[in-house]
Amino acid sequence: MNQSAHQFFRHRNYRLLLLITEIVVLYLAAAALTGFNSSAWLATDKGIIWLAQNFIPNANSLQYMPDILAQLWQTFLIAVAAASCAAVIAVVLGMLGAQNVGLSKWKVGWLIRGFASVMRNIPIVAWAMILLFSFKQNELTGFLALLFMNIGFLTRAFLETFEDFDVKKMEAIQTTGATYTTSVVQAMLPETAVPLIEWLLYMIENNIRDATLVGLLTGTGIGFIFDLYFKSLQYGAAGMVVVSIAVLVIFLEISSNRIGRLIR
Amino acid sequence: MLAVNELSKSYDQEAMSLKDISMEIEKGEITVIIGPSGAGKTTLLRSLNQLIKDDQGEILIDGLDVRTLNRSKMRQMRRKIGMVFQNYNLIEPLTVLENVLHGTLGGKPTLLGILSIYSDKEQQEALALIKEMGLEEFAFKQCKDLSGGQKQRVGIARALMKHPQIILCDEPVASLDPKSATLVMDILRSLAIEKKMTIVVTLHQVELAKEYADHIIGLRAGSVVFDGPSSALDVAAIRTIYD
Ligand SMILES: Nc1ncnc2c1ncn2[C@@H]1O[C@H](COP(=O)(O)OP(=O)(O)OP(=O)(O)O)[C@@H](O)[C@H]1O
Ligand SMILES: [Mg+2]
Repeated sequence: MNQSAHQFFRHRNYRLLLLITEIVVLYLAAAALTGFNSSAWLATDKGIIWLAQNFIPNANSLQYMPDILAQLWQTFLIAVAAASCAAVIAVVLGMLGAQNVGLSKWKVGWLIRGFASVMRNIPIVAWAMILLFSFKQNELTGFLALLFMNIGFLTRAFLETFEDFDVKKMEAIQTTGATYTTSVVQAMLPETAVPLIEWLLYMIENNIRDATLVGLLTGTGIGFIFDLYFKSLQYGAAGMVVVSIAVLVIFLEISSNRIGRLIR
Repeated sequence: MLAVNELSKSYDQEAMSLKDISMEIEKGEITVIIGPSGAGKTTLLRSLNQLIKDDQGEILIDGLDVRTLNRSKMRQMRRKIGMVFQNYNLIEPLTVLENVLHGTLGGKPTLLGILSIYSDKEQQEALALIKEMGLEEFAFKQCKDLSGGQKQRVGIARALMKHPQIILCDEPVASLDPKSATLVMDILRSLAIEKKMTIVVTLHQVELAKEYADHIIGLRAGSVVFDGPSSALDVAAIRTIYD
């Protein structure tokens, strides 16, 4: 018994060693292939010191706060709007796509799955650049970019949540003579409401992070103002933008945890 | 009221779960189906409202064979039959009132059902039923916060919402303590006596069956081995069912 436990751990240690070796080899191979100079690591401290000296907001950058807050608010609203619209669409698509309830016939489920995967896996920056062609630089472009990505993401998330639902719970409603669709909606939606809301809150958080990047391209919201300060060399103010985004995201994370606990 | 003729069912082509079952169930009576585990009680009960489709035989409700109904006729038939489950089968995050109102969904077009649109009359009726079940103070509480006995009474109220003629109960008291079990059985008895409903119950406890049943059907390995009034269920009859 003891002997085999000993063997088990020795075996495990070998495997760990092997894994570490593999990672090191992969890093070296990747560095060699891309011509990445590993001595660049030595210069990171200088870079960080420069960042700290220039980007730490000082008293002077406080004067930008009203502008930053206004843009942050606008960004927040767009993030919420995009996630909420996407959630409504995703609930319908998710219900049609879920295999267990089988609301849709034929292969519609696979079609929805594929559609969602494509929408989700197009990077948000690519969405923004594509949409820029037709909608130019304005808020709608940013909203649409977030919306499309959110539809893909939430459809996948909702669909999988629905597939975890035990269809036996619908039985009682079906025995009242209710139609199949009614039974699905009345039984499954209340039973899965908590995870659905949690996904929605996560999506809003994520949208605010993404909105920075999208705003850089579409010239709106918090991304725009960051770009503005940055290009006019007001690094302190730009740092302030970064800090306020982080604060907002952390705040949202805390409140969505709270909400999550409340609705459980 | 309800007649079954030579009903047979097998889940896997080999073992027969129901073998040539024939029985008559009278209006306004409590019929209790007893039998050892695996005897086919659940299978028989669920065949009655076609939650399980059977292989052969006839199930006549008011002279109509439920096995031949199309989908919309099936919905109509199901509205006449309430069902009560061992594990209550409530939508737990919803309130007592909402769960009871689910009983009206059978009579609604899909759109109204999806949007949970209930008339004032339906809401009043649901509240009255909740009161009748002694759950007044819980009407707006989530079902997940209720005790087992309370949940089962919500289940009964939901079944009553559609004014059924028949109520099927699969082990309605198997998860309850004796006091809650008696309460639930008393409610079923009063429904049979006062509202002339036809009640079919499967039970594990022979004592409860003898106490509450007008009519007892004993199943063993998929066949009817006893069929008579509860006074006829003597020790010998119990032996043939269980040993
Ligand atoms: N879904 C199913 N698939 C295959 N066989 C089944 C299925 N449900 C029941 N059976 C079989 O049918 C027979 C009757 O089962 P049933 O559940 O009707 O018995 P029961 O009398 O209700 O038992 P219990 O008292 O344990 O609830 C059993 O042999 C069981 O193994
Ligand atoms: Mg059973």
